[in-house]
Amino acid sequence: MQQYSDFLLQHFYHTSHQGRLDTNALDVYTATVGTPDNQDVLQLFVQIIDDKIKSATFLAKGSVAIIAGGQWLCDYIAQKNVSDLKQMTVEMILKNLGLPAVKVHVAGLLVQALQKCMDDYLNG
Amino acid sequence: MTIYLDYMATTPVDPRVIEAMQSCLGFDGVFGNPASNTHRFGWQALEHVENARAQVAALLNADPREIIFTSGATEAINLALKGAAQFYARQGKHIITMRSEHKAVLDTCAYLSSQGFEVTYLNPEPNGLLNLNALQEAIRPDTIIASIMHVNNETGVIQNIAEIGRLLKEKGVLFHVDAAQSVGKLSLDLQALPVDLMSLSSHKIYGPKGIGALYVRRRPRVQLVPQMHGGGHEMGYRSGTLATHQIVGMGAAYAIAQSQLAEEPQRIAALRDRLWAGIVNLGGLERHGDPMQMVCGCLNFSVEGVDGESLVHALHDLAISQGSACNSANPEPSHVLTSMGVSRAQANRSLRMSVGRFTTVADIDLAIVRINEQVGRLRDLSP
Repeated sequence: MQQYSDFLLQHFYHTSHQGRLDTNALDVYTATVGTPDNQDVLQLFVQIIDDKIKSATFLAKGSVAIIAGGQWLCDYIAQKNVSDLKQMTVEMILKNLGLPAVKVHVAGLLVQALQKCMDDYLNG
Repeated sequence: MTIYLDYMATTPVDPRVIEAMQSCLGFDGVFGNPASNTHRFGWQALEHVENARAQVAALLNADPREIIFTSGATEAINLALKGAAQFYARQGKHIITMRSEHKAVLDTCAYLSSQGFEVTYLNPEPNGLLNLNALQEAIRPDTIIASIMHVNNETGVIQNIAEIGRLLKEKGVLFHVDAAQSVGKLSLDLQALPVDLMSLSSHKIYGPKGIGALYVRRRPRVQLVPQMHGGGHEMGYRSGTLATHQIVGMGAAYAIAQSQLAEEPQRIAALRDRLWAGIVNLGGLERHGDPMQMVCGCLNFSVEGVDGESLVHALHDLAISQGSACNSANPEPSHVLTSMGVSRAQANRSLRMSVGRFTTVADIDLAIVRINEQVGRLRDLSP
């Protein structure tokens, strides 16, 4: 079984950002991303007002990494500006989250989900 | 506190076994080399070894002279398969086994393949059992040995070794049984069972790790080419100074198992059944292996809607297994489950839990709470 760092596991055990936001609301954006075999699936919900992430929640199915990643991402982006978060890269997530090499794809999924939400906001 | 639910992986040494072993370590104990036949230290050690050999034999209704001590069941399996294949190679070079066997058998068979032997790997039925017609069809004039495990280490499925042995005996094929998971849980009578070679473990029934044995039938005599040379110990089958304390420990464990064979398996089965009854109402749980042919303590099942690795981590205060301990470093899904026709995805969602002698009702009830809680949490997390 894959071993994970204590830091990552804490985000897996304590999923305070678990849940949905009302996607009917005009300021809520959502994205669903996953691996081709659907072993890891993440649905991200973000509320963006005046360029700022007001709240973020997630749902996830799959590995410890995708669940912990969803929790960590929601923690990280809360109260940050979209203009700052557009710089987020896979490398930044790998460095911050401490993902093992076999779970690198999870960082890509997190970036993909966030980028889609922000693109939807920026494109009106 | 972590609740131990991985008795199929290994068991804690019984305190009574520890006491017996400790008496064979220090200067005041039975520390002599059993091969030292010139002084009482050696004679005493030899006497303890032979008492233990008799204890092991008694649980199997075997002759003590048919018990060869090894470093464990893995070495016993190697001695049985390599030793028999090499001795009987002139009669044939075909071996039969199952895809669901322990890696000790599969890897040894793979090695024998590299040495010019041909191995047929039979798939189990979806319930884990061997189809006897398939076995019959696989037997050839050049088949020399078949290796079928009595109880599967991942699913707990019990093979019908009496019928399998009868069929093999009719065809003149030697029968090796990996009994690591069945000794002390199922009644074994080697006067009645048509088994030629049987590999035995100690650490699966509350004895120490690092010791095991191979049963080698005397009548009719089964011959093996030794794999360890250096002194001719164990009637020439397995050289190396005998570890008196380990052997005494194994003997004590077997004697305790024999004294408890009438009641312990039922008590352990009841605990396992309590665990299943407490979680099955989650829905989407599927047991693997024929529940009517299932060893007392084992529970192998998949959980719909959650990732197996996530569930094991979520249940971090339960010591459980995803697949077998021997394979737990390998990210591939269980070869046992996939050989039964379980999909890779479902195999990845499967867990093995196993209870044993020291499991309590309180352990089971707490495990039930945790499993219900965490499966619920992970399912609620799902998009």
